[in-house]
Formats: sequence, C-alpha cells, structure tokens
Amino acid sequence: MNVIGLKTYNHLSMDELVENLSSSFQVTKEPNSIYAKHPRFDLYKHRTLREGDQTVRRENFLKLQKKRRCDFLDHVRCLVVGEWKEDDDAQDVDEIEEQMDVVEVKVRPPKRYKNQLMLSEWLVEVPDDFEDKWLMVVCPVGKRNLVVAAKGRTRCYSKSGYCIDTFASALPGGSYNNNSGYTVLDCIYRELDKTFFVLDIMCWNSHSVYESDTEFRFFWLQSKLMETPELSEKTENNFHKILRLQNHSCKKEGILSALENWDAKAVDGLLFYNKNTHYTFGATPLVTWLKVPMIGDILNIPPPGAFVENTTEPKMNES
Amino acid sequence: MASLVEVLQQTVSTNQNELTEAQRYLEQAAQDNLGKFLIGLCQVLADVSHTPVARMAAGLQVKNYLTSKDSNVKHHHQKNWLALEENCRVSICNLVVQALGTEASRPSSAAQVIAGIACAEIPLQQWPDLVPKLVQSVTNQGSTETLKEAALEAIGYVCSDMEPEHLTTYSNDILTAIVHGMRKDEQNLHVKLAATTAMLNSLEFTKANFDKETERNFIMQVICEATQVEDSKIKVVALQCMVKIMSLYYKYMEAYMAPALFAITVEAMKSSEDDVCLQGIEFWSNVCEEEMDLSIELTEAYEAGRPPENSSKFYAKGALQYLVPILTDILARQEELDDEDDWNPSKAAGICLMLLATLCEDDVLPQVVPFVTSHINSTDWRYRDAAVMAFGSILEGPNTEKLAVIAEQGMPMFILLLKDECVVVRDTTAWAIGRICELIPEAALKESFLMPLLTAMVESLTSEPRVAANICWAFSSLAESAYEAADGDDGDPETYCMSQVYEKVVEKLLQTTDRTDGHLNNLRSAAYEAVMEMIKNSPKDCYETVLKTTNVIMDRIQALLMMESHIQSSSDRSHYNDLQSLLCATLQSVLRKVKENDIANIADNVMGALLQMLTSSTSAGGVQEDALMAIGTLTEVVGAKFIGYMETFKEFLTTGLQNKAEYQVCIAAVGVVGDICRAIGRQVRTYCDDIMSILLTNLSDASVHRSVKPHILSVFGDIALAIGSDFKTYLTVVLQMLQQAASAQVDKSDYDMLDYLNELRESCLEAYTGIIQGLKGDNENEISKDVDLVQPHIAFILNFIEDIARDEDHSDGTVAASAGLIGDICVAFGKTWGPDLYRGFESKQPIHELLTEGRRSKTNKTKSLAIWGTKEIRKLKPKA
Repeated sequence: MNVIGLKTYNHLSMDELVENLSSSFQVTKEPNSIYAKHPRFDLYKHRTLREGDQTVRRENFLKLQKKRRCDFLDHVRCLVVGEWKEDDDAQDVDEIEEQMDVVEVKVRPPKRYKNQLMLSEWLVEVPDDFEDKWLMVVCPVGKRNLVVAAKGRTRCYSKSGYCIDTFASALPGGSYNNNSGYTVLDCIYRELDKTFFVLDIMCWNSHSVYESDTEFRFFWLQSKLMETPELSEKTENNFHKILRLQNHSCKKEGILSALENWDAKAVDGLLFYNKNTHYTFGATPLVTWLKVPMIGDILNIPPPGAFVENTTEPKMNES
Repeated sequence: MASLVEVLQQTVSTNQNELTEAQRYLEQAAQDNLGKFLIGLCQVLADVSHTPVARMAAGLQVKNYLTSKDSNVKHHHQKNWLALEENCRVSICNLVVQALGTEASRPSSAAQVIAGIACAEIPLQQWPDLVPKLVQSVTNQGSTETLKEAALEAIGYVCSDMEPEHLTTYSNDILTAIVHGMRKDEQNLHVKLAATTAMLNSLEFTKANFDKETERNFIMQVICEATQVEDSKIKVVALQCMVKIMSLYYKYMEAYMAPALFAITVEAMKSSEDDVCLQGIEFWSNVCEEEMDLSIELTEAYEAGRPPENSSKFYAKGALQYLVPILTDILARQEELDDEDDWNPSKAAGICLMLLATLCEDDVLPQVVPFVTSHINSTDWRYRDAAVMAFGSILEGPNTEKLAVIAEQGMPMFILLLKDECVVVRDTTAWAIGRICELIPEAALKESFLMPLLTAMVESLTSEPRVAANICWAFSSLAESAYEAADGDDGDPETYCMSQVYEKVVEKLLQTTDRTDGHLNNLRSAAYEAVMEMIKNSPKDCYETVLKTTNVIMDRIQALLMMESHIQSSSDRSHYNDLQSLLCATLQSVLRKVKENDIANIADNVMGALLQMLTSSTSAGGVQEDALMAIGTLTEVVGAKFIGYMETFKEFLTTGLQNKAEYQVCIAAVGVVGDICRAIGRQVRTYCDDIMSILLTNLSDASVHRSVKPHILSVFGDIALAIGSDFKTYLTVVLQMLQQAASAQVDKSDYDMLDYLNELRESCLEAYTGIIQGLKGDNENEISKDVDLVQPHIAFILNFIEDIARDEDHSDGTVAASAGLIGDICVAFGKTWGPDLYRGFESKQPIHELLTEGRRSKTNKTKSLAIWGTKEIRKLKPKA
C-alpha cells in the first residue's frame, strides 16, 4: 500500500511545507481549526426542516405507515382506542373494565368495525306474540356490510371488520361536500347492480339510535331515506345506490304479499325483528331468520311455488 | 546515485520529473528495508548541518510511516513499526529525541515523530522513560528555549492523539511540565504557546488533578494568567482551555466565576480581535448549554423522586444584563461580503442570544427589546440588521403572549424591511418573519397585518435566492399556523384566513420553483416544501386550487420524464433527480387531499408516471424511494382497486425489494408490500410466493443493512393478516426467523444499538400478532384450527415478552405491542387452552409489571392496549 501521498509543491515556500506538516496531524497550527465546520454553525438562521427534506419525509411517511398498521390491528381486535385523561391511573382492573364500558357507550363514530352488526338466530320456536310484536324484512342475496359515513368518506366493512371499499355517498358525512356528522347503516350489498339495501339504521347525521326500539328505527330510517332522494341514484357524489328495504307485518298475508314483489332468485331469506329490541351487537334471539322454503314447516305458511324450486342447503348465518 | 538528503530536497522541487523521481526513490527505500530507511531519515532529522527543508522533509516522511488520519492505515503502520527489531527502534527513538530542540524551523517535526512513536508504544507499556524525559527537558534549568518548546509540543501532540486512559499514570508529570511552561515568568512566547496548547489537549485526562482543590486552584490560576498575555495566539488558546474546563468541570467553577472567569470572558468578548472575541462568546454559549442540560436533569430527577446529581448555578442568568449589550453590539459587526460558510463574531453572537433566550426566558426581554426598538430605524444597515437579528433570536423561550405584543408592534416595520435597500437586512427580515410565523403565529395572522404581510412576502419571492428561500420557509410555517387557527372539528375547516389569496400564493410559489437560480440556497426545495404545506393545510374552499395543482404537478412530472434522454452531465442528472424527488413528494401531499372521484380520474396516470420514474432512475436511490412512498400513499387512497396495477407493478416491487445497495429503497419497497396487503387483502396471495422468497433471502443475507430487518418482520405480520390460512405455507420458516430475531442481543452501552433492539423486538411482536390473527380467521364464533400450528411456540413467545419486560431499556412501543400480542394470544387460545395459558401468565411476574407500566403510559394507544390485554388475561381465569 502506497501511503506516502506526497503533495505537489508549486512553490518552494517553507510555509507550504509547514502547512502540510501541520495539516496532516491532529493538532493544527491554528487554534481555531479552519478545517472543520464550526459545530454551532447549523444553528445560524436556523429553519425547521419539513417535507422538503428527504429525511423528514421518510420519517413522517414511516410514522404514517406504522399508524395504518396499528389502526388496522385495532379494527381486527375490535378495540376502542379511548381518550384517557392525564390523571387516569387506574390500577384495579375492575375499575378499568367499568371505564371501558362507559367509553363504549359514548356517542362517537365506532372505531372498531368488527362485531358491530346485529346478527340473527334461526327461528326454531315461534314466539306467541309473533304476529303482533314482530316485523319482517325480506333479505336479498348479497354480502352483509356495515356502512359507515364519516369525515367525508363512506366505507363499507365486512362482518370481520375488514374495510372492503371507500367511496362517496350522499349519506351525512359520506362525501367531501357533505363531510360533517356521521352515519352508520346495516346493509346488504348486491354485487350485480352494486347496490346497497339498508336493513337497519344505527346512526344518522351523528344522531344515534342504538338505544331506540326496532319499530322506531325502521320508521326513522324510512323518513331519512325519503328525505334524501339522492341516495337512490348513482351520481358523482353518491357512488352506489342506497335503497330501502321495506318492513312488513308478520301475519300470513303480510309475508305472502311481501314475497310477491320479489324474484325468488334474488331472495336469500327472511329476517324477523322483535319490535322492541334495541340495536345490539352479535347474535340475538330477538332477530330471527328463515329460508323461504322453511316457512311452511315453521310458520305454517305455504311458500310460493317459485321459492320452493330453488331449494338450497340451509346455511347458518349466511349473510 | 543521489543521497537521501538530496532526494529529500527534491521533494519540494517545482520540477515534476524530479518530484516523481524523488517519490519513487523514497517508496522503494521504504519497501526494501523499512528500519534502515527510517534510521536514515532520522539521522538527517537529527543532523543540524542539513538544511531545514531536508530535515523537515525527513520528519514528514517518518511521520507518514507512523500514523495516518485513517484509523485502519494508522493501525497498519503501528503494527509495522512494532515489528521492527528493538535495536532499530531504540536507535530511532534516540535520534529523534536528540533532534528535539535542535531544529531551526517551526513546528518541530521531531515532536510529531515522537508522538507517532509514542502512540504505538505507550499503550503497550513500552518506552516508559519518554514522558519523564520530555518533562525533564521542560523543567530543567539548563534546557534551551527551543528544547523546552519542542518538548512541550511533543507533549501536546501525545496528549491529543493518545487515548486518555493510557496517560493517567503520567498526568502529574505532564501537568508539572505544562504549568512550568505556562507560568507567569516564562518570557518566551513560543514556549508559552506550546505549553498552553498542551494544556488544552490534556484536560480530558487530568480529572484526578482537578478533583484536588489546591491543584485545581493552581491550574486555574495559570490559565487565567495566560489569558492576560499580550500575544493573541496564546490568549485564544488559554480561552479555549477555559471554555473546555467550563464544560468538563462545571461543578467546580463557583470559586472562580466571580473573581476571574466572568471578567476575563467579558473582556474577551469586547476584544476587537475576532478570534479572541469568538472564544469569549463560545464560553457563554457553553454555559447556556450546560445549564439547559442541568435544568432537564432537575426535571427528570424530580419526576423520579430523587435529588439530581448536579445543579445549575445560574451563571448565565446572573451575567445576563452584562452579556446582552455586548452581544447586541457584536451583532452589528457583520461582514459586508459574507461568505456563507464563514464563522464570525456576528453569527456567534446571534446564536449565543438564542441560547440565552431559551435558558433565561422572559428575563431576556427587558435586555433585548430596547435594543430592537431603538435600532430598527437606524440609518446604518448594520444596526438595522442587528435589530432584526436580535428580535428573531429571542422568539423561543420567553412567554409567547408577551412576545406576541412586541411582534405585533413591530410587524409594520418588518413588512417594510422586506424591501430594505440592503440584501443582508432583507434576508434577516425574511428569516425573522419565518420565525414569527412558526413561533408566534397569532402576530402574523392578525387581520390588520395579514394581507400586507402576504403581499410583501409574495413580492419577495422574486428577490435573491437567499431571501426567497427564507420567505418560502415562512410560507410553510404560515400555512401550518393558519390551518391550526381555523375552525376544524374533525376534518378540514370550511375556510381560513388565507382563502382569498390562496390561489395566487400557490401560483407564485410554483413560479418560484421554476426559477433558473433555484439550485442556490436550496430555494427550489424550499419552494416545493411551501407548496406541499399549503396543500396539506388547505381548507375546503381552496379545493379547486388543490385540484388544479394536481394537474400542474402531473404535467411537470410528465414533462420531466420526457426530458430524461437529454440529460448529459452528472450535475444535470443530480438536479434532475432532486426535482423528481420533490415532485414525487408534492404528489404525495396532493394524493392525500384530493377527493375519491378526482383520484379515480388520475390514478392511472399517476401510477404510470411513478412506474416510469422507477424505470428510468436506475441509480438514483432518492428518487426510487420517493416514488415508492408515493405508490404507498396511492394504495391507501385507491384501496382495493389497486389490484388493477399489480401485474405491471410487481416487477418494480421485486427490483426494489432486492436493492441491497440502497437499503432505504429496500425499506420503502417492504413498506409498500404492507400497504398493498391492507389495500387488496386476500388477493395479494397470487404474488406472495415471489415476495416471501425475496424477503426470506434478505433476512438471511448478511450484506443487507440491518435496518431492513425489522421492516421485513413487521410485513410478515401484514401478509399473514391479509392471506390468513394461506400463510401456513411459510409458517415454519418464518417462525424460525422470528425465533432468531427475538433472541438477538446487543451491546447495551451503544444507544443506537439499544434503539435498534427495541425496533427489532417490536417488529417481532407485530409479526407474531399478524400471524396469530391471520391464522385464527375472522369468524368471531369460531377460531380456525390453523392457529394451533403456532401453539408449540407460545411458550417461547411468553418468554420473549418476559425478556422484554425485564429489560429496563424497553421502549413504550414494545410495551404496547407486547400488550396487544398478549390479548391476541388470549383470544386465540383461550378456548382450547385457557387454564394453562392463565397459569403461564400468572407465573411471570415481569409480564404483570409490564402491563401495569402500560396502563400508566402517557400514550393513549399503549394505555388502551394494556388495559385490553389485562382484561383478556382475566377472562381466562378458571371459574372457581
């Protein structure tokens, strides 16, 4: 290895030689070393670095990415990341549990999307008050979705809380022009015509109706949807049609006349809601389900012919 | 055949041939017989009959075979030296010591050679009589002045180059020599300078001497006396000693501050000699920093409930009223033609003021504000500039309300000064306005000033680059502050104070990015940054402009891509790359802001442009990174529709993932994989085999930078979550990798490595979480059997969490991730394995402590996860 590195001397000057001698050693001739940038230099006319600087960009981007991952995990875990006050130093877990329950009831847009839907059980035993205290909704074939409109975007989630799509809608809070308030709906999404059919309503324009009974919710849903005709058309600000599903009485005539309006292939089954039930999460006996061919055995109502031809294996909680 | 001496003379020849010849001769001689060669050189060095040039050249040659700036080379030289025969080395040492004091030139080459040898030998306890010999040479009555000087020089070099631990045994002797050379009655200035320099270099290892009061007093006395010497070189070095001592031995300074240090340093600050003045300022800047650290230490100690180790004596506060007037006057000593890289008293004074303001807060106001008000209208540009600089320097520290009042009073003046005839004043004013926008926005946003201010700022965008750059930065700060001040709730505000002029401002900023002199003073990047901040912080009523800007940016990107083939020089390419990066970054800020429908229209174009950027910039890592980040942002915005781009994108993704040379690009690519998983979910399955194969290869490849590893592990979690049971294919090998990574240990004394370990552990936890969640399936009524494949590893995972819990340096992030994983394990295995699992947790006390720590965390997220984790464990408790 040749490490002499002799410099070229253009002058015969002793100063140059001296300079060279001292510049290649740690202790320099000059007390304030002119070879190093002054350590305080960067503070002079100091400017805060923002996204014009790549290091800052990279750090901010990684932080955002990490947040996306964490938010996704929170959804999957169905966790509410609550807002805690500074002095919350809860030690007793019971206390904590109480606090958490309190947080859950708070009226805020749900940050968890799993287990937000009220699911039915099979109708096995017909309750005595079936005809008076229950309402029926015809459930079309399609995927059960939770539809949440908030902060200028409408998102639909699968039952497992997975965000399937993001789009604009005329629901309050659901599009850029209409981004205040939030709305939560229980829907069936039909891929064929990319339409949402609304089964139930939990929240409209930040007004929560989880605590209201089914009869009221259905009535209110009907009036809100009628007030917002834009929802029934596909437009720039309402990307998917959002249509109402009518509810019917559970008397024999009610059920049969409802089925008359439906093409057999488009119907998945029938949902029966107890009029007094609030909107609760998870499976509940206060919402029951039957496939149309089964109404003969269970309800003693002969199903219309078209429905009997397409007998499929009954599936648990298909939607 | 030339003699060695002649050859040495030739080394300063102007004749290129002679020079090369000389070089070759010397190299050859060294290769033939190093020992003989070095002896020969030292003989020349020691021989007074030779010319100074020859002797100095000889010394230089020897030095170059003993040491180097490059530590590897130095090590190599030292090995070679030690390999020489002992007699040879002894001869050389003797010759060199003999040469000391006989040289006719300065600095002493012999001294440097001695230091070179010493650094090789003393750490191995060889040449033990060197230091005593040097010391004797200094203190001996009979020594000549030159000998004393040279010996002190040698001592100085040895002190500065050697690791302190090898010198502590000699510290008393060395100090004796140094103090002897520095004492008042030492007349010879060269000796004194050499001694003072040696003192400066010895301060790190003479701690034991400083601990003893009498010795300390003596040292301080000698140094103080040296600061009073006429010769400014000595003065400067003595002051440097004082500065260093202030940092190293703050706790001992009380006895000296009032009687000596204060007066000496203030005197120095008043000196008209720049070098002396700079040291005086540096002393007080140092005091500020020390006292700021001590104040932080005090807060930390208070929070931990123990007394602090050291406390501040508030020297700066005490001296404030004397320091400020001097500093403000120095501010007015600007250079007219300021070379931006130069350091001078005026700049140093500005920074010292900044430090004083941060430390003393409101107390600086009565000192500085009068200066500002009385000089801001001065006819002398230096004083106008000093006034603005002074004001800009104190905006951090004092109470913002008080500052706002002052700022509002001064605003009309500042707006005028943006048009000052002197460019220095305009530059400083632009900077000060930026500081106001950032630190006291209420003053800038005040209705009565805002429009005139904005007008003046916009006009200044056409000013010199240095001024325009500061204005751009002011716009960035203003954008952020204006947005925060507007009424937002949970989304963008409807409007804000700049809405009327928004379009014009953005237009002007875009024009600024186009300036041909944009490469000066980082103007272009400052201008794009301002555009980004304006977009990011825009209210709803400015949406149209945001949308238009999207198109402008897209147009520019397309135009730039077409120019690619015309690029010739490497400096052109470098500008081209910078521009691409900035455009990508601006594109990202736009994508986050634009409505769904509007994105749908341009998404294809955006993706196409980004892919082109990835194709063309084969060597520019920065651009590739920015393009990948933009694609990451795009996935978030288009969501599931991203599947449409996967076929074309996958080859670019693969290339990015395999980029070992530029690991930041690799990390960006890994991150995009995660974003894609979240966007398209299960559909990523098609591409997983290829992606996983590359990721696994990278993990086993030692040449891949270690910072990539945590990102890869985290993304395993993302993939598992997306493809669920299909992840089984990779499970065995991934769990193996995780086990290895989780068992990693690092050198705890290295802070960087501590951070890395936390990052690595957090990524392992995220991976485990994703795998367990993914395999357990998303049916809430039924846990898929697939997750049982992980069960054999649960014991290891629990131990891993326990290790993290026991580690006192664990980060809040690892606490959060651990809590989350604990919860996930309980949910996944609770039904099949509850009681065993519960026992497992109960037996590990550290885990309970970890969860307790989490529940008390100041971070919302950590707190929530810890509470949830605790709850989930509790649910496992077997019912009595």
